[in-house]
Amino acid sequence: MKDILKIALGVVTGIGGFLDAGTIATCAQAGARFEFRLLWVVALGTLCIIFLSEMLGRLAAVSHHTLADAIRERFGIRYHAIPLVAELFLDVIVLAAEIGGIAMALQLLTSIGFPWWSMPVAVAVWFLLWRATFDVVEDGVALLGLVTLVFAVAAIKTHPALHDILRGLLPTRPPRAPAQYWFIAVSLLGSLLCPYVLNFYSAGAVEEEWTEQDLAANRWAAGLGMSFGGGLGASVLIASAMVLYPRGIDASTYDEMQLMVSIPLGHVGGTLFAVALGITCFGAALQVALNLSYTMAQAFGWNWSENLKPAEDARFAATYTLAIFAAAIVVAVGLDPLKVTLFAMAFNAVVVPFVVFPLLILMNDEDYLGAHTNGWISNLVVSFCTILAFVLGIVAIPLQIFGGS
Amino acid sequence: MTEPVTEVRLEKLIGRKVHDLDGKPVGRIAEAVAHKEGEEFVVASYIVGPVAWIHRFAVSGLGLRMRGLARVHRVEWHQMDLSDPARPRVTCRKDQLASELLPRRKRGLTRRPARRLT
Amino acid sequence: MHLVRDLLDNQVNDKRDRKMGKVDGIILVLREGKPPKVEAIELGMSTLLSRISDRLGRFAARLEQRWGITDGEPVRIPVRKIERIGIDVRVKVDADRTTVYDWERWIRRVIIEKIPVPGGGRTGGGPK
Repeated sequence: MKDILKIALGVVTGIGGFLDAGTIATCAQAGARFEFRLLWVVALGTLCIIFLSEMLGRLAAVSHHTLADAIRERFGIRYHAIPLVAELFLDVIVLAAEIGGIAMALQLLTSIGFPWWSMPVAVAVWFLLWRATFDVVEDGVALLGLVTLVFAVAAIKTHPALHDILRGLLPTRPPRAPAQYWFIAVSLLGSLLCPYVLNFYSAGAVEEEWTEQDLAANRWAAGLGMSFGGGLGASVLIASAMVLYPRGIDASTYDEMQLMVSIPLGHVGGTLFAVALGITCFGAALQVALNLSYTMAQAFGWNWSENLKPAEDARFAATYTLAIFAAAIVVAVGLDPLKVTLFAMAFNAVVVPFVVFPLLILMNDEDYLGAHTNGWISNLVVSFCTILAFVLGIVAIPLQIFGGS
Repeated sequence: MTEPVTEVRLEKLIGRKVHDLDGKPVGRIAEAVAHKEGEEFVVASYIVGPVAWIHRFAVSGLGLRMRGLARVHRVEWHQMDLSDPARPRVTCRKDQLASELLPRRKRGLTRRPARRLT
Repeated sequence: MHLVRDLLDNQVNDKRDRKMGKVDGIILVLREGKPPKVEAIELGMSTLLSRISDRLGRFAARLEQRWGITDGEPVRIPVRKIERIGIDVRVKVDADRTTVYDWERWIRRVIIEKIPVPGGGRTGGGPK
C-alpha cells in the first residue's frame, strides 16, 4: 500500500511538475510554427528524461549521493568547476524565466504589467521555501500542477487527426525556415533535459531518504510520471498546432499562446491558461531556487536540506534567498520573460552535456551502485543522451543566432 | 634530533608529469596508494599513467579501457623523487618500472563497505 | 587506501555526523629514507581554489582575511582523527571547535536572523 502511494505521488509529481515556462513556450512555438512536425522531439526528450530520471533516482537510493555530490567526489573539482559555474549562472536565468512566467500569468489575469508583479512573486516563492519542508514544496506543487491538465482538455477539444499526430512522431525535414525549425527543436530538448531537473530529482530522492527498497517505485514513478508529463507537453504542442498554426499566429507572446486554450474552451479557458501558467512556473521556480542551493551546498559539502530550519543551514538558505531576488530584478527591469525563457532553454542545451556525460561513468561504477549498475539498455540510452547532449551543446548558440526569434 | 619537515600537497601532485632518470616522460601521477604502518598511514606507491584523468573517467563495463591508455606504472615510494614537487622524477629508467593494466572491475559486487581507520 | 579515490573530494562529517565540508586537500610529509606519511586532510576554499589556480587560491585566502570572518587558514584535520572512510569520511572532531562554520555563523547572524519571518522546518543537525 505504501509503495502504491509512493508511486502515485511520483506520478502526480511527474505530471504536475513536468511543464514550466520553458516547455510551455517551446511546445507552443513548435506547434504554432511547424504544426505537428516537432512532436517527435517531445517524444524523444520524454524518453530520455524517463531513463535519466530513473538512473538518478537509482543513484540517490543506492549511494545516498546526489548527482552534484557524486560529480565532485568522482571527478574532482577541476572537472566539476565547469558544470558548477555554468549551472549556477543558468539556474539564475531559468529562475528569472519562471518568475517572469508567474508575473506574465498575473498580467494576463489582472492587466497589471508583469514588472510590478516580479517582487511580490519573488517574496511568495521565497516565503514558501523559507517556511515549508520538502514534502510540502514537492507534493503541494505537484497536486496544484494538475491544473495543467487543461492543456490536454484543450488539445482533445480541437479534435486533432490521429494520423497527423502519428506522422508528427516521425522525424521529418522542415518544410521551411530550417534554422528556426532546428532552433526550436534544440530549445525544446533543452527545456525537457534541463540540468536543474536532473539534479533536483536526485536531491529530492536523498531528501526523502530513498533506499534500495524504493528502486521499483522509482522505476514506476519515473516511467509513468514522466510519460504523462510528456503527454502534457505534447498536448500543448497539439493545441497550438490546431489553434494557432491555421490562423498564422506564431506564439511570440503569452497573449497569443493563451488563445490555444481560450479558443477551444471559451473565456474560462483563457483564465485557466493563465492559472496553469502561473502555478506551473511557481512550482518550477521553487525547484530551480532549491536546486541552486542544493548544487552549491553539495559541491562544497555544506549542511543542506529543505527540511531544516534556515538557521540550521544558513548558507543553503542564503543562497536561494539571494538567487530569488537577483532573478526578480531581471524581471523587474522589464526584460521580456518569453525572450529570457527562450534564451535560457538554448543555454540549457550548452550545459546539459557536462551533466549527462558523468552519468555514463557513475551509473557503471560499483562503488556507487553496487549490484545496481546499468544494464545494456540503460547504457545504450545514456550513451545516446550523451551524444545528443554534445550535439545540442555545439549547435545551440549558432542556431540561436541564425534561427532564434 | 627532529627531522626537517617537508610538506607536499597531494592534490597538487595529481596530474603532474613525471620523468625518468634519462629525462623521458613516464606519464602523469594519477593516484597514491597508502597503507597503515603501525600507527601511521604512509604512501606505499603511486600510480602513473599516460593521462592522469583517465583514472577518474575509467569505466570497465563500457570497454573504455583502451589499449595503451589503460596501461599504468606502479611507482614504489622510494622510486619517486619529490624533492621538487612541481617536477616529480622517478629514480630509475622507465623500463625498470612495474607496469599493469587498470584493474578490471568485477560486476555484481556489493558496495565497498566503510572501513574503520582508527 | 587509494587517496584520490577514497579520500580526496569526499564529504567530511564530524563526530556528530554534521557536514563539515569536502576533503579539499591532503598533506603528505616527506621523510628521509622512509615512505611519505599521510599527515592530514584539509578543508577550505583557498585550498580548493588553488587546485584550479594558485592565484585564485591566494586571492580567496586574502579576501577571507580582509573580511575578518575567518582567519583565511584552511582547517587541517590530522589523519589520526579520521574514524571511518566509506560513503563519507567521519572524523573524531567536533566541528564547532573548528573554523568550518565561521561563514555559516556569520551568514546566520548577519542575514538569516535579521529576517523578521521565522523559518519552518525541524531543528537539529546544524552548527551552534
